[in-house]
Amino acid sequence: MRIKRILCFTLLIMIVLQTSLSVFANTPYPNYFIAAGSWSLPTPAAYEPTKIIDFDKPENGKLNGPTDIFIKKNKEKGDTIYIADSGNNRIVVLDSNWNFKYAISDGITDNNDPAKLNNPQGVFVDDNDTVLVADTGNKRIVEFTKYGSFRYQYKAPSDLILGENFADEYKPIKVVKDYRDYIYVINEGDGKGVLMLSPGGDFKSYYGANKVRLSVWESITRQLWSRESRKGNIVNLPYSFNNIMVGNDGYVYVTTTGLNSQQVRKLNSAGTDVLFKNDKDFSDRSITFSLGVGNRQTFVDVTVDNDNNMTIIDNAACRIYQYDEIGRNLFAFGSRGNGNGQFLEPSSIDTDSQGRLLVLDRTSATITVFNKTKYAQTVHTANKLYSEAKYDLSFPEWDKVIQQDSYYIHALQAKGLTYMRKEDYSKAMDEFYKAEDSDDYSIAFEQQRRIFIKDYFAIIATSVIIASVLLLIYASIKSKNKKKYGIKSPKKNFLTPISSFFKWIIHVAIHPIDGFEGIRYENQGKMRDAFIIMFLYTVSNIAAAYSTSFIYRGGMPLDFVDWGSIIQISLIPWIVGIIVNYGVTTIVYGEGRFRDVFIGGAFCHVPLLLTSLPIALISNFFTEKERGFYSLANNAVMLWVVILIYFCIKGIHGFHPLKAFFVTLLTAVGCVAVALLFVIVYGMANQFIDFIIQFVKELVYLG
Amino acid sequence: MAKTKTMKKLIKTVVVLVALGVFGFIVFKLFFASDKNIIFNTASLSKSDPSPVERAIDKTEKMTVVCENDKLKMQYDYESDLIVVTDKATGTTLRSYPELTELEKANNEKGKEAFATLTSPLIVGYTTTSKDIQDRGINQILADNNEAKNATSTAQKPTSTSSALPLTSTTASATPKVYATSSRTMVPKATIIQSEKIANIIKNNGGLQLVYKIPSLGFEITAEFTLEDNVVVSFIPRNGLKETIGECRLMSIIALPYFGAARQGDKGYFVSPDGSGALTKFDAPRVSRVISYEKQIYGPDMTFADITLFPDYSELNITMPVVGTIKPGIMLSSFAVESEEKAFLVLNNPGDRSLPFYRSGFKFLLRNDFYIRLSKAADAFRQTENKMAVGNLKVKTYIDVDTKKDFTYVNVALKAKEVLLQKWKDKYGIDKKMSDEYNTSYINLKVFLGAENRYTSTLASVKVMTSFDEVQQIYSKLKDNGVKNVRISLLGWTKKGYFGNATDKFNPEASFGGTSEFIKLVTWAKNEGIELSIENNDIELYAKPKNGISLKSATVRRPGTEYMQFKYPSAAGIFRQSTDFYILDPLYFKKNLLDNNIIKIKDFGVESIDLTTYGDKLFTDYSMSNPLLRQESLKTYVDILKKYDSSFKNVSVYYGNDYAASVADKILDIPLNKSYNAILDEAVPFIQIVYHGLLSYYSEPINSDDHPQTAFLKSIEYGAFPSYELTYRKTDELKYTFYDKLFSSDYLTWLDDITKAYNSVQNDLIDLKNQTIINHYKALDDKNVFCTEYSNGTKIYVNYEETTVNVKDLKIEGLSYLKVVEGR
Repeated sequence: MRIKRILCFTLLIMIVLQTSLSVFANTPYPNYFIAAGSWSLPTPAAYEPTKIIDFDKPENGKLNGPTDIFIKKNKEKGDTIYIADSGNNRIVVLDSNWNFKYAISDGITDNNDPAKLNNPQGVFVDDNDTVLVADTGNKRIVEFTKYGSFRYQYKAPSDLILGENFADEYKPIKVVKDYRDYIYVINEGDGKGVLMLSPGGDFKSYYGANKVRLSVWESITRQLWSRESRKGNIVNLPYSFNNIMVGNDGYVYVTTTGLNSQQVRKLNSAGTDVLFKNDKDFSDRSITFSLGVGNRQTFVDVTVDNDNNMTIIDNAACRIYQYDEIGRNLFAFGSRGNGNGQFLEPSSIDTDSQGRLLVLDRTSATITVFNKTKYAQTVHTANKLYSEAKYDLSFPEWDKVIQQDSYYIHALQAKGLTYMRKEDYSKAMDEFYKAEDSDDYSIAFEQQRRIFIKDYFAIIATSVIIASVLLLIYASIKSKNKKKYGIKSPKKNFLTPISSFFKWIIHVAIHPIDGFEGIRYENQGKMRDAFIIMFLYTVSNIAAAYSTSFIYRGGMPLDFVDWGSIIQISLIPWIVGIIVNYGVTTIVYGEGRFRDVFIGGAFCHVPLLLTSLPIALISNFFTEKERGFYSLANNAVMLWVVILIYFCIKGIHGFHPLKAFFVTLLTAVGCVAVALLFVIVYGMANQFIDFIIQFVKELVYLG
Repeated sequence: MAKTKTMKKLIKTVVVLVALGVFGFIVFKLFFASDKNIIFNTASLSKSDPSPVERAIDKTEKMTVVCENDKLKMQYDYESDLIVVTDKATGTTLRSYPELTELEKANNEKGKEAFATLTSPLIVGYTTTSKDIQDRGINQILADNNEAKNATSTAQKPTSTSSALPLTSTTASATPKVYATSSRTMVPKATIIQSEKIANIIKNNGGLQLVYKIPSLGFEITAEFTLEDNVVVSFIPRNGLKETIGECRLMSIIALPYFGAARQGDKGYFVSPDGSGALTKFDAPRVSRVISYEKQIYGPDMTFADITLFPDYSELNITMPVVGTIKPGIMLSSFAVESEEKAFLVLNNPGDRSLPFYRSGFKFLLRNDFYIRLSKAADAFRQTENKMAVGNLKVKTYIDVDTKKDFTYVNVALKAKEVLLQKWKDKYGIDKKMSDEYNTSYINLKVFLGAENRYTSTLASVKVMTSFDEVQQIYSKLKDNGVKNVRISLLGWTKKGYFGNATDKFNPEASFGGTSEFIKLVTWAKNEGIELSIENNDIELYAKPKNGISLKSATVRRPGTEYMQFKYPSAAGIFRQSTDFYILDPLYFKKNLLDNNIIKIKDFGVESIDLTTYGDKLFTDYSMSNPLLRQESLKTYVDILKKYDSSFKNVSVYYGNDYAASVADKILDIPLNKSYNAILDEAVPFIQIVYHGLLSYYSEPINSDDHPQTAFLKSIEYGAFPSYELTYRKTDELKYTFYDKLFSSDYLTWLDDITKAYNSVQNDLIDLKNQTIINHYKALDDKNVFCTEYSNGTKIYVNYEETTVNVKDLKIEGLSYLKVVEGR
């Protein structure tokens, strides 16, 4: 039922308190961006607070727990700002200078007046300046004319899908309209999706619904339940949406609450997220731990500017994050606090026609205006030019960005891609290397390798042929000499012990059955050899870490190579393995002495010692596409190691093949058990020490 | 035989038991040593007795003249608790609290607590449980405790007489009764005697002495108010502060809280040395969420700081104990002159206790409260210090009245300059003068040499950003552009670079070139005539101390025996959990390391030194071996600085706390902004006006500012020489070090800006270095155009607008400045 009534409102233009801030100061919050891999790197300020809009007295419009802000953009005539002043049951309207214009539904005492709002939590204004309000307390959507007069109300929709009791549970908190005049309503706590209503207010469908998410454990346990048990269990409904906006590009942007990923979505008309194919976690990993165990960031609103950059706001850590059209984080900033430009409980954010961000704070009941800095303008300009394929024009802009922030990876990537388009692959690789972007680096490298091979094919081919011919000649002469003079006893020099050492360890690795039995029963194994193997293995691991190609390191910089960790990773499995194996085999009557297990364990590392560095070096000739070869080589070596372990156990302890197999398994299980035990004992010991310290301190301080 | 065996067994058992006992004792001492036995050295704290009195003021006396001199007269009205100071020349009166309108009076009849606070000559912070600290007007405390007493005594003795105090007729709020009736620490009800206020006239020169006795809390507080020339002195003698009941503890005191208070909409403002200086205007729009501002002079005491995960980006420290009040024709300049290290500067918006007044003053901390955590898993709980470790508390308020004159913050700053010079002379024995003979380099180039890579913990490698040789190359390039007279400050020259160990630093990092290259660099600088300075970190430990220095006995501790550790913030604005840094005890450093360090640095041939920590961080130390009060830390700093000053040609400090500035030749990274606190409206160059002409000061690195261009203009406006932080190699190399805050430092990127800044200083600023700033103001009301006037008549106009503006007949280009020399 449509009810029309003219609403009286006060058209008093009152001066709102606006505190202008110095534009010279650095900002009262950190400024950074989140690079790939969740690294936070600093940037100059992208946005800076320039004004705090406060309302000192109720008659001037002092807000009370405001929850939503909507800016009706109009570049020529100036923007109009609408605020859902929830605590005062009204919509406050400000002009483009943020002066109080009037309030909708202000001062109505008659409860039967359909214009009277009750805890309105959402406001939206369409192209015809019609004001839509999510009148949460009255369980309805209300439509006001641009003059603030009551026009329609949309009561709770009814439909079979919605169920019988829907009207009782209906709690609209946000409302928007799309270009077709379809109305989208966020119903608080409704896990089925956004309510999509026809222009007449009839329910059409749920839109952009979340999938039910179950953890692996939950999925397994549910399989074990009976039908009856499942009936009694609480249905784990999807998490619900908390805000919605329609962008200039026609996409619907939503924020959700309580999810670990896809907290923000850009939905097409079919309700599918077009921003990220995979589950994208929008939470900021560098600060997540500060929120405490089990707590997560809650993104409460989203806004999109004229360049389609998406800005979201989180009310847990009071941070603002801006993403570009393709979902790369451009800037992050904001902090909790009482200072100007800080937040206590941000509830809504919107962008005005000049690209300024207006943030509404529910607790302090203020609006903070953030102006874009020159740095952010440069980034936006460069990004826009780049997305419009004006690469040459974007290039100098990216250069400016890098001059202001050497860490800005998007600039390096964009420069790299521009070089690649110019077929300057070498420079492109340099930029991608700096940007730690191994995927694009791989593409550039592939092209560079192609050109290299093309340019030097003749030389390479000739060299290979000459080398092969020389090798054949050498082999034939050697063979002739062998026939003529018999086998010569090799001359001894300083290399002889080294070569015989390697011959010996390779022999064991290739002939494990004989080799390990020789170690046990013929005393062929020496402790010295074991130490040398493990030393060389550790050294080769360090060398391999430095030699692995940038692509196969996944773009990890060499700064991350930690010698200490490599040494630990090289030696700890060996030490744990030999201890566990010796322990296990003692129980099952193995014949091997600890000395033999010690040496045999070291010999099991020979394949790794021999191949890790060469594989790492060869990786420098491959691209990402050829990762299969790299993985295959590594897997083959690992298989070799496993075979050696098996024969080591069998040979050294003199086990039957089947017994050796089970002992090998048991050793593996034992290693895992030791690791778990270590974690448990370590944790408990810490707890115990902490308890003792606490106990005595309590005696000292409180006793 | 059997006996011998038994003996042996016995001996073995005894030896084991003794060994276990010794081990247990050591463990106990190491981990559970109590700080209750720590005895701070308080010998240097002045502790006076209350002054002898001439007579007591009768309760019926009205507006008694308690003190008078040529300039001022002080009167006191017992009943209304009003102190009135009259300027004799003009007849202007200043009240200890502002007059209320009839309506406000009527309203305040309902809200008595607000009225009692307003009329109180003291606001006292106290606690009865350590958990709940409250600041209340002394009159309210008297009223509460009398009311509680009356309630008790009425039950016991129905004929009890009513209170003689005017304010005791108020009805007590619900809270006060708790103190009188519930606590196990209270004196038995039967022994409660009435709280009272005694007003006396002080002997000889006169003055008002107020003695408050609150037996139910065990407090006795004496405050004295006297006149000296045109100064009102608020004095609380240390021996006039008494506590007699265990856990009832005095925490803080503010004297004359509403003296000079103003109403919303009045003309005028407070000026405080927050950052560079800030105004709190009485007629500015006020946001409603922030009412009070309390900030410790010389920065927060890290030893008692709350455990927090997020660094505060919005607040800057206060460098000097001064606050000014400007009203039409009136200027009040207040200085905390005793125990200023323990004082907080307090500013209040209207709204505090529903009172419609702005107020400012100093809150003296008598004790710190702090949170203590007994174990990693347990919640922290609040404690207060056992003893009141303060001396006398004194505030001097200079009263200047001239109805024909428009006082501004510049006048307050110039008064502060005068007072500080005198204080430095009296307290530290330093006679600093306006001099025309101090060396000044036009520009400060911080050259960052390198820092350890933070992800290779076992065999950490140092990221070389600039080698010693490359420092010369940077200069050579600048010299080609005509940039010559610069100071080069080397950051991270020590072993392992910037985050090297302060106790193991005297082998300059090998990857930068090692000792030989370092000495070559120093010699080269001397030959070139450049001021080459090294940033010297004495006491901030980025690793456990080395060279025989014990972490346990030589580092600063919090109460509760924990080490005082500080962390370094990450780019994302959160303290890095992987960093646990310590502070070396300043006293330990002074006694054991200072002399040797100076010799070693001098051996390199270095003549200039930039000292970290001393100018911007001050703390208490609860270590068992070298306990140090905040006041004593300050004195230790001054001694250390003096020693450096006598050994080096140039000594610089950072930020610029006044005690450090008293000794230093230069201040680096001087703040050019105010905090983002909502109570502060406008930044002004207050501390710059104080320091200009006394010593050179340099801005924070302009290339690290969000707006390098405006940062440069700001340094010109504030008379600061510009500063840049550079590296020879590309900045992104720093990405994986703790020094990733530097995001644009490549020297080639900044070459043109530096040249431009250098030329500006050379042409326009250097000849003003010895001049006093005599005025500073906004040149156009509606535009960001400011003017700084110097004592030689020179004016510098700075235009922050993007377009050209006209000031009178002067045309100032957008984002530029204009120097106007008198007579030209």
